[in-house]
Amino acid sequence: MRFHSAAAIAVAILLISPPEAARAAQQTSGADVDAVIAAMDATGDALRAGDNEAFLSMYTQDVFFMPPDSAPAEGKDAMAATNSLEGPLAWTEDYEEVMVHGDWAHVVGAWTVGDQMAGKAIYILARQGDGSWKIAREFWNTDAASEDGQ
Amino acid sequence: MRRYTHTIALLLSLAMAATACAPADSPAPDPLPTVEDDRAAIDALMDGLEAAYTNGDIEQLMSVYTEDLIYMGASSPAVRGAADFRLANDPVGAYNLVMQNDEVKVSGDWGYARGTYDGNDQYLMLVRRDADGEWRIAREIWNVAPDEE
Repeated sequence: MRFHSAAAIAVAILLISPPEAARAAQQTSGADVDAVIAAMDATGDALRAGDNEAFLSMYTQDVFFMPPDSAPAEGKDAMAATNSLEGPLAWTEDYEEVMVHGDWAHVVGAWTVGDQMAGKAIYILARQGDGSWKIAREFWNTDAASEDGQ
Repeated sequence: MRRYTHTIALLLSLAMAATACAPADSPAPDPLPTVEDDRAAIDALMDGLEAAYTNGDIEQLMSVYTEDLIYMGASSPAVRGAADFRLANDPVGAYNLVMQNDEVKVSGDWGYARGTYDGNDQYLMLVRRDADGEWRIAREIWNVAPDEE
């Protein structure tokens, strides 16, 4: 009986096609997902503290940062020039979906700033060489039109 | 040790025999899509979205989104699920949408596409290969660029 089981396993191993075996599994829980959430939490902490250096440190050098009614900031230098923190924000965030896909991850979430603004965002994070995660692509917009009609 | 070696050899022989015994005339399975295939399919997905708006066709529009889509348009609350998305978009106002993927990344059954539409307006989409093998838009956010001076 044991012999039959071992033979079946050997056959199965030989018959599995390598590309299928190599397909990346999507993760919605586990250490990688926890690390992505930790990176998002650290970004939120920096916004609440008004810590611009800590805020910018959470983004990759090749970040593509896309706020509403603005031109995109391509690269961290461009982002720093146009999106620096001027002080603490009454920022809250909520993550509706966090998923890891090998060396990148996505987060779908919602945010508020005090009682004045609320909106939503999609983030793409990139795994760094040291195992940490940084935001590489960020699009956010608001739930309601701004006063200028945008 | 000798018995162990014999067992391994026997297992490998059995496995090879099982492979060899497959019917000679059975069709070869379709090869799995390559990353290049997936990128081409995701580019074609944007072509489908363009066609849906050009034709003002709600069924064509629905066919490019997943059932569990999350749609995050600018200056409006998120729309979740195909039923609410249909309500919000039927009838489709026909116009000549032009989309351009500037970046596509794929890993397994998920990917993302970032690009521009109608000139300088920007989108980011998470796309997913559904159970039927078709890529569809699962999450979408977009922003309107400011008017150029």
